[in-house]
Amino acid sequence: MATLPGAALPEEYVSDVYEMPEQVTLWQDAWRRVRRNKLALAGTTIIAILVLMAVVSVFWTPYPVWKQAVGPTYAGISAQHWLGLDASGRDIFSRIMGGALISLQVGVGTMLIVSAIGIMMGLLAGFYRGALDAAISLAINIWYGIPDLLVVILLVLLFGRSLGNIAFAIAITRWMDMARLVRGQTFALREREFVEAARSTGTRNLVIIFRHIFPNALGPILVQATYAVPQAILFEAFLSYLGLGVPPPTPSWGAMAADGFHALELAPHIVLAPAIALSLTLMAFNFVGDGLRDALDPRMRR
Amino acid sequence: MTQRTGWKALSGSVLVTLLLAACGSGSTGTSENLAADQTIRFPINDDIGTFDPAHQSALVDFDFAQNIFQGPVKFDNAGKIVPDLLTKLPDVSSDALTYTFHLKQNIKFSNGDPVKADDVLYSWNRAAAAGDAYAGNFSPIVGYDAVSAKVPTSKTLSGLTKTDDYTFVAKLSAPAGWWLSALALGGVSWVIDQKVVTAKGEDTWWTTPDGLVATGPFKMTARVPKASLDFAPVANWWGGSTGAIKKIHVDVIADQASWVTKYEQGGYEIVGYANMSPTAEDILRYQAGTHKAELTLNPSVRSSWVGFSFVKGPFAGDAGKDGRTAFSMAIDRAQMVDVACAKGAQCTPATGGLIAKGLKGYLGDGQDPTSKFDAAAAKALYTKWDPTGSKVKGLKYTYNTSATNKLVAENLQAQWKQNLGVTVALEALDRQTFFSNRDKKTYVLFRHSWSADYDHPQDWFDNLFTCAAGSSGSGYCNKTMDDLVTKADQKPIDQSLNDYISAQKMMIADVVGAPLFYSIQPYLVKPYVKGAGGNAFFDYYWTALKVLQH
Repeated sequence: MATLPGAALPEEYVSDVYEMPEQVTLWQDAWRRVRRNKLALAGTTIIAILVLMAVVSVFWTPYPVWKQAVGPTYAGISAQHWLGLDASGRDIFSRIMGGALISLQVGVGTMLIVSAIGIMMGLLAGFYRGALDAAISLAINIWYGIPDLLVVILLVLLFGRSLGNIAFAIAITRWMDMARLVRGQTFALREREFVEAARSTGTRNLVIIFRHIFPNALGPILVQATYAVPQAILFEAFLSYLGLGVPPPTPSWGAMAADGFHALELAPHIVLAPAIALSLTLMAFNFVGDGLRDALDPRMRR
Repeated sequence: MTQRTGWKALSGSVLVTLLLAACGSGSTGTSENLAADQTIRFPINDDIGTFDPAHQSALVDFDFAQNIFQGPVKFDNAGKIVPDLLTKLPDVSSDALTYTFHLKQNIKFSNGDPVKADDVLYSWNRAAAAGDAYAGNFSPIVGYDAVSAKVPTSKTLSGLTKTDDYTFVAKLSAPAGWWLSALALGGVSWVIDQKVVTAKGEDTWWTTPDGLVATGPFKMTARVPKASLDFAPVANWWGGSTGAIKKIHVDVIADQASWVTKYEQGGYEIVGYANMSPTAEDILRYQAGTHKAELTLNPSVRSSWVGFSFVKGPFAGDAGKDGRTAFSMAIDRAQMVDVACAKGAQCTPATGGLIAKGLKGYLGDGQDPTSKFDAAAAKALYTKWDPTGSKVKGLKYTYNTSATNKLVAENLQAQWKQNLGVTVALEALDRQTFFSNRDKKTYVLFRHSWSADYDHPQDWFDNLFTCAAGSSGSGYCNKTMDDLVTKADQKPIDQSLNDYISAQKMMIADVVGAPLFYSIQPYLVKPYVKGAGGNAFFDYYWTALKVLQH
């Protein structure tokens, strides 16, 4: 209620039952809303299991992921081999665990590289505008026009099929979405009052970018980064399916699916296990991404 | 058999019987019921290497070329040497040093040019001078050393002369009991048309249908490199009937898993020709399925082994012998056969030396001590040889891409890791690159295999294991063994077999390679295709094929 300056409030308005709204930060509010999103929670649980499997696989798997003939080739599900054995007699559950590590490494690694390139490009283009923005926007548009699969295959063939090379190759075909998003956010944020205030106190541009603009753009960035993970995982699986992924005997879900596809009629479990693992992982990251988007977007607030 | 599968089988049988009845006489196999379309289609996984007889070495190329080219003699489908361009088998002098060949007088190339003794002399001299993998087949002829020297002093074999247009003579420097078999194999002994080679170019004449001129019953009608090949019978072939088939179409498809899918959809009549194989999964599926009769598993005279470089890398020379032994003893062949050969349907463990089972020179089951699996002994020997692991740092195993080779490579990698603690990287190459580099002895650790050209140990030693062997890959050279083989080569096989066995034992002592398995050739053939398949050495000639009504 508006009051005249200096005027005392009538006694009836000075209530001791007046309650201040609960003070929550953006992140506390987001977490509260994520918790209400069942799909996001399910996704988080799956990702937690995936991370746990990946971490455990570094130290232990039921059988070494590379070891062949641990039982009869093509053997189905049993107490000894929870997901059966593949065409070379390797334990599929062990390889799914090992594959989880590869998928996470590629997914997270790619996401970090994508974020590093995209955020930097977007912040610079959005903040400085003018010629720099035009140059970066042109680069983004040109990059969009280059077939990503072709670039990745070329890079992998040129530099080898190591995990790092694959993550890098995928990342440099995927940074544009992040750059575009951050550029847009920066455009909007640089006109806000708190940026004006910082500028008026003589704060340097880089400090404004990283201390005032970047933290306020973090929500959409986080959502975009979450979506980048499953994209990279899927791309790595696709490369492995084509035989261009991490070299054997390192397990990759895509390579496992490719091997299993040949034995689809004979032993369908060989292809089903990595396919289901891949699908669950992709769904989980997408659910979490959707949940974060809803939670961090003020317009979604009820 | 469960009750359910029993009913399935019974109902399947009834259905097949009804269908056969409905088709009338459609599958009785007489010449009256040939299908209107006499086309045979089959896939290969990589393009052919070359059709130039002077340079051919891959079995795939031979399986095609034997239908296009001819030489003085050939093997028939039963493996017997018979005259091909000759009126009869050559006359051999009593000292076995002079071979006189009598050509038929009506032979024509597919372009109509007549074939005379000069054509044979041109073809043989050219192949000898080319110095490729099989040039050594002419090594018994007087003058071969002058032609094959690093700096040749002659372009022609002095011991090869023409008597008249249809008679020529080969004088040998020493008796060679194996030589007629080597001629029957073909390749370098096949006859080509000098006029065409000159006109079309020494290196490229064979690459186009109008350049690939020969005397055989089939000719190439189209070729899209890396994609497809087409062949058709030569019209008015000089040799008479070319059989029933009017067209052979070959797809080059790297994905072997797709072959049987296409076969089942009616896209191919055969899978397995040209030394190809359905995948292990397909073989297992057919073995267990209702179309089992379409699958034939044919023991072949082919050995596969791991090759070690004797000229570079950690395995070279005497210093590398313990390493070679350890890497060989660390391989459980039984496991490999189970994993990489469709539970043993495609191969059997190689325990009797590098010369394949069933051939003269085979040592007998379990007679090769280096092929005995002993993980503990292998590990101890390896640790002694390379205590710090520095010798095998960055080691890679190189192979040419195929479904079976990949399975073998991955199994080797797993076994070496498990039994020796050594991580070996895998390098897969296309066939042309792989063979070309292997002949140059480029690789340190590599896939090697050999299909016997004929049943004589000389075929193995002179092509693979002597110092001058063109297909060695390893650069192995043992002068003592060479001398023994040279002497053995000059004797009839019944007198030389023990020498060859002694020579093979020397190779085993030197651990020339790590024997893996002896192959079995699978063929998938539609029931309405007759005359398909092969013997232990090669596919049956296309002239024997026919497609019945179906």
